[in-house]
Amino acid sequence: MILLGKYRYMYYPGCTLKGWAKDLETSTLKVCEILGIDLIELDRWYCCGGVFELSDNLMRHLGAVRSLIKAEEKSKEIGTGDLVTICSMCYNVLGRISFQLKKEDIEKINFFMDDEKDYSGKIRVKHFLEVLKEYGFNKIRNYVDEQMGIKVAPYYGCTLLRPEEIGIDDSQKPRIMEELLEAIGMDPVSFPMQTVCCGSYNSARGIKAVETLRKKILESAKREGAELIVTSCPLCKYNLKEAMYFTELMEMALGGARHG
Amino acid sequence: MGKTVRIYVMGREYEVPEGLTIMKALEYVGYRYIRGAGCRAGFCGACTTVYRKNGDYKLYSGLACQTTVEDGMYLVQIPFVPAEKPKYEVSEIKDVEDILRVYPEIARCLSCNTCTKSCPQGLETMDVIQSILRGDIKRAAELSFDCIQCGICSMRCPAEITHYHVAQLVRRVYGKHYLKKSKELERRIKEIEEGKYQEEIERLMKLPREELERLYKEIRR
Repeated sequence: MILLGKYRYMYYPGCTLKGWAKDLETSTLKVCEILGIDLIELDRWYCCGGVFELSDNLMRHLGAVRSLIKAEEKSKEIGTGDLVTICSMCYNVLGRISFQLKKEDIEKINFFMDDEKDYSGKIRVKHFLEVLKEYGFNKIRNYVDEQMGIKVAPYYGCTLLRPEEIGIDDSQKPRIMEELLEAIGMDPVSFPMQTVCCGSYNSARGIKAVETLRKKILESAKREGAELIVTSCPLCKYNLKEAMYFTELMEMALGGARHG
Repeated sequence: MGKTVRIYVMGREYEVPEGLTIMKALEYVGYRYIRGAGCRAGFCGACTTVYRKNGDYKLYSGLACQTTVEDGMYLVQIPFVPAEKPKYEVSEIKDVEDILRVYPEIARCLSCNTCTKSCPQGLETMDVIQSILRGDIKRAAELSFDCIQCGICSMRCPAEITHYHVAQLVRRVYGKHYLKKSKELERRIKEIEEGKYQEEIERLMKLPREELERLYKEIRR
């Protein structure tokens, strides 16, 4: 058994956080270090698939299920069944696998995997925002020494909130990011388009609608007086072009640089 | 003859002594290898074999020179693995984006793990591919270090990935761009270029065959 603190979680980074969204991981880990939260990366994990496939092709779920199996193994070692992701997309896929996949589909996948370990469905997939809420936004307040008061618009997009079964907050009127922003000395600004889709992977196909959505979302935030827009999703950030990760802002607010 | 086992080579039944390797068993029943055999010591990866066992739905694979025959084995040799081998310039390939340009199909990996299960070296082949996809060149190179390029992973992969070629590219990239340069190697190359061994090579090239054979045996002793 590894000796860990009170706040310990298994951690699934996902491919993007090891690649072009490295800033999302480094800022999160920095924030965790300051707050005393242990994120323990799984020894083995696989691409979640990037999107939750609605087709009946169960092969598409293998990477996610396999990662959850690795988490079940790891959970015995560190004594928690909580698996944390930061990327909204990975959260959505892993969450839906763990909460929505039908029993007979899990049985089929286990039978396909055959001589490997079965997935028994014991993992609770959590988004990092939920971890921070559990930790206590009031407690986070103690780590902030300067009220920056920047007008920050939290952009949720789809994957944190929909479908409802895995939504980390109310799918129409979420508050979780506003509450966090307020705790770290910002001036949160809710805006009408904050739960609208950014266009998702359509940007990879060069579809114009993504640009239209980008403009609408940014204008909607600006109209409410926002100076800055934050997200937890690398794909949303890519599509919006003018957003930053909420964890980067947290690192600044918690004096990440001072904490070495 | 002591104990024997029944094997089936391309459908035909034979009785062979227990304890033989697949390679030796095939020779025992009269086959002669002109392809699909090499070092006979488990290093060269030339003798890929697939087989099934009686009453077992699994398709197994292994090296013919390393796997012992079992009663009821259905055997077939794979003398050659057809695999696309694109040309590239290692100095121009550094990260996952570059590798994806050469081998775009690796993004088709669904983590089914069939490659890992088929590897006679017991390598975590799927983790090699997954490591590349997340940009971890070092881990991919290290996990694939013991690959002997038998190619069975690529014959089994539903995503049609040629893991053994991809892994070789990754190790080349790792050696070229990430590993510390070896001073000793540079010194040796310089010595060769300056002709330090030229005289010796020229002497050997002129020796008659008998003399070369004598020298070879001497070295082996």
